[in-house]
Amino acid sequence: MTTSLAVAIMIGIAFGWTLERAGLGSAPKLAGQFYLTDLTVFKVMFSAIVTAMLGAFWLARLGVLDLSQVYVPETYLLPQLAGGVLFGAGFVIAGLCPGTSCVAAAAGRGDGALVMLGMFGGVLATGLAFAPLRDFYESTARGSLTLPDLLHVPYGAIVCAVVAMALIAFQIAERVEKRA
Amino acid sequence: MIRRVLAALAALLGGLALFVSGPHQRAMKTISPLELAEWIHDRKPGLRIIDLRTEAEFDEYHVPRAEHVSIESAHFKASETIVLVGANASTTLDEPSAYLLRGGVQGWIDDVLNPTIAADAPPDARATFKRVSEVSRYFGGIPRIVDKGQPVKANTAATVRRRGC
Repeated sequence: MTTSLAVAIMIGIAFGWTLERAGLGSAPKLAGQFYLTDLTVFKVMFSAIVTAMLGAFWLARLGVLDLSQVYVPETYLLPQLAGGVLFGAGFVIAGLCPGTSCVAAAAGRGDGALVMLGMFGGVLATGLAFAPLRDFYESTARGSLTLPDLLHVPYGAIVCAVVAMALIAFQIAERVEKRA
Repeated sequence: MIRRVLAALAALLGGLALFVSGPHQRAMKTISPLELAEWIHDRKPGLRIIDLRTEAEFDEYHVPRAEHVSIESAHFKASETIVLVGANASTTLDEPSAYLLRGGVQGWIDDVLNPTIAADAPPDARATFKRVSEVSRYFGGIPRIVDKGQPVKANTAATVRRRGC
């Protein structure tokens, strides 16, 4: 347990340091995402998805990683849709998401500290109001869904398609940024 | 320059993925150790538990009612519900009522034979744990309440007592 916590802290610090180095602790930079003037968030996140996806796929192919031991979170359509809308609204209003607000606060930015305060306030309020929300929270359960299962195509085809999508999207993002 | 190299590497690995991946195989449904324990406890009709581990591992300990047979040699009826124990990621069984036991035998030992709950757990968690405890005791397990910060020690006695059953 202690080792797990130590590893988690080290990964957390490395993650935060990387976000700060990428400039993602700055609210104006993140807000630029929604005004199509700065697509750094999109590029960082999509790069992370592609890196993790290729890593998981090839490590599993080489027998290093057992994908059956990788937890796939369950899908709850309506509650996750509502959560996504709420999260997006908060992101636009604050200019920061949960991870980047911690980075901003750690870098000494006041807006980051306030967003963190709001985030923990929201977590507390949700916890206190959880009993009446529970039915909605557990509604429209679809189990653990993956794209290969959903689309009935081989895992490798999905990997290939997502990489192609990312490379095309990066090209488009660069052009959009140049025009802005 | 670095970005171009990384993009080319991603394109290469992504392209190769298309060719090394086999045909789509739907992931098998999974079942938790506690759900399986409930099925055995309730004597679910047509339930078969197939242990795919080695004979030595099976002899060391196995889930009650488990059979040690290979998938290839086993014959299943359409009415049966099959639970595979000790299967790896590539194991598939094309039966509509086939499940993989999540966590394998270790998951069974942890969740069924050694269930724990925190001393300050909320009432709804305590209500759930009451049922879990009943099922656990049926299989010779010892449910325990643990204090915050107290290290969770495996209940080896429970596993030893059920050994070879």
